[in-house]
Amino acid sequence: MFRTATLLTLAAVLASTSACSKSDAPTKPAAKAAVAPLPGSYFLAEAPADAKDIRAAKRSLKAGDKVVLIGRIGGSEDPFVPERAIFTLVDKAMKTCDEGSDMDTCKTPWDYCCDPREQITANSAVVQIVGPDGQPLKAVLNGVKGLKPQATVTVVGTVSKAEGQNVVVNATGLFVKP
Amino acid sequence: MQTLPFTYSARNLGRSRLRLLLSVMGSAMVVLLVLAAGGFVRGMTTGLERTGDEANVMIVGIGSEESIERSEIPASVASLLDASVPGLRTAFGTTFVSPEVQVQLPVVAGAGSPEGRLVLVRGVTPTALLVHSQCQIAQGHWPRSGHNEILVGQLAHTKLGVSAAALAVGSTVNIDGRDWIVSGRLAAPRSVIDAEIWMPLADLKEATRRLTDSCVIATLGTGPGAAEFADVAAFARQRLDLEITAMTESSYYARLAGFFAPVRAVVWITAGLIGLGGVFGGLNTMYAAFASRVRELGMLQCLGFRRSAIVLSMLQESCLATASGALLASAAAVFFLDGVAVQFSMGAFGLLIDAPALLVGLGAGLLLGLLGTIAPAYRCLKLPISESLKSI
Repeated sequence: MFRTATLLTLAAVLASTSACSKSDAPTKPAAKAAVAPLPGSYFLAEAPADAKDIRAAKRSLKAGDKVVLIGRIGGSEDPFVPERAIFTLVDKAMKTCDEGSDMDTCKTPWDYCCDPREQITANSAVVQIVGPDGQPLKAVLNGVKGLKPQATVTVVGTVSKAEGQNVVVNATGLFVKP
Repeated sequence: MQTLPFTYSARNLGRSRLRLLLSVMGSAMVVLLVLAAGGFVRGMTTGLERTGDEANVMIVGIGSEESIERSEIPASVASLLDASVPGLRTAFGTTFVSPEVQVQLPVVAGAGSPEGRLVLVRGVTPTALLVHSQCQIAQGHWPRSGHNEILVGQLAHTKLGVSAAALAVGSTVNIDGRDWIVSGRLAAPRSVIDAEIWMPLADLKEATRRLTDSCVIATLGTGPGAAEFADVAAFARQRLDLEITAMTESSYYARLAGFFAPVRAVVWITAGLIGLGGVFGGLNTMYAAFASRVRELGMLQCLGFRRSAIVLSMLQESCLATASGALLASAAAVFFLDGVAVQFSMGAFGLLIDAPALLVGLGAGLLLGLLGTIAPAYRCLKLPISESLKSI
C-alpha cells in the first residue's frame, strides 16, 4: 500500500510539473528555406576603367546615372545584410581603425568606429543587386568570390536613389580586388 | 541480490518522530531555498525572453543596439518603414508598426520617497497593443493624448515600493515633476513590461522635450509574401541618412538577459552554499540515526543481507524523508512563492516556480538524501559483523 501511495505521489508531482510547463510564449516566425550565394555571373573578370571615389562621386550623382564606383566594404560591424544582396561601400580614403589610429587592436576595423558617424555616412554608398521586382535579391554575399568586410570592390551599375547623403546603386557587375 | 523490503525503510522512519520531523523540515527548508533561487532565475530569464517576440523587428539608432533608451531615430522612420516594406503584419487596414519612446524617469506615487524611483516610461500609440501581443488593458481605458493620462503596469508598484492601491485607476502619479492620472492598468504577465508605465507618444515627447523616437517595433507577417527580418534590415541599410539599424526584439532581450547572467550566477552560488550547509546538517542527523542502529545492521548481515542491500535500504529511508520535505517545499513554493514580485534595474518580475524550477528543487531534495546517507552508512558498515553485534 505504501508503494502505491509513493507511486501516486510521484505521478501527481510529474503531472503538476508538466501542467505548469504549458507554453504561451510569443509567436515564432515560420522556418524558411536556405538562401543561395550570389550567382557568379555578377562578378567581373577585370577591373572596370574610370572608377570614381565615393565621396567625390556622391556630390554629382542623381537617380538613373550610370556609375562605376570603387571603395571598401565596411561602415558597420556587419556591412552585409544577411540573406539579401546588399552591402555598404566606403570611400578608400577613409582609414579603417587598424590603419594609423590608436585602435589597432579593434576586432572589426571595417566598421570605422574610430570616426564620427556623420563622416562615415558622407563617405558611404549602398550597393545592392536587385531582382525583376526591384527588391534586393535573396542571396548571400559575404564570403562569396572574395566579398568580405574590408575588401576593395569596384561596382558597375545604375544609381537608384541619390538624396542628400543617401546614395543607393543597383549593381550589375562587381570586381573584387584580389 | 536479496534486498530489504521497502516497508522496512519506511517503518524505520517512524522510530523517532522528532528526528523524522527534523529531517523533513531541514530538507524542506533547503529545497525551498533552492526553489526560491530557481524561481528568481526562471522569473528573470522568462520575463526578459517573453518581452521579446521573435516575430518583432526593432529599428534603433546605429550604436544604440545595447540600450534602446540611448537610441534616437527620426520620427519619420515608422511611416517610411510602413510604406517601404511590404509583408508586415496587418489587421483591419492597420499595419503592426509601433513608434515608441523609452526613457527612465523619476516617478513618485503614494507615500513614496520625494525623489521618486526610476521607472521605464514608454511613449506609445495604440498600435503598441498590436505589436506587444502579451499586453492588454486589465482595468480602465487607454490614456487619452493631451489629458495627462497614463497606463500603469501590474507590477509597477513593486518597482516604486508602494502598495498596489497607490496606483489604482484614478490616482495621481508624479512623473518627473508633473502630475499624471492613472487611466488604466496594463497587464503583461511574465514580462518586464508589467512594471512599466505607458503614456501617449506625443505626451511623453512633449514632457521630455524631444522630437525623436527611441525605436520602431514592427511585426513580420505570416504566409506567402510575408516580410522577413532581412527585408527590414535591407530597408534600414538603404537609408544611410537615417543612421538606423534593425534587430529582432528577441535578440535584444536575449542580450539583456545575458547582461544579468552574473546576478543569476550569484543567486545560484548563494543557494548552493546554503544548500551545502543543509547537506552537513543532514549528514549529522543521518549519522546520529544510523549510529544508534549499528547492532541492527550487523544482525541484518548475519541474516544474509549484503552490505549493498543495507546501504540501498538506508538510501531509501533517507531519500524518503528528504523527498517528503522536497514535496512539502514544492507545494509551499507553488502556493506562496510563485508570482511574488521582485524588483531589479529593468523593472520588476515575478518569481516563476515552473517545471524546470520544480525539477531542480526535487533533484536537490533527492541529492540531499543521497549525500546525507553515504558517509554515515560507510561509518556504520565498515565494522566487522562481530564488532557490530557487540556495539552499544
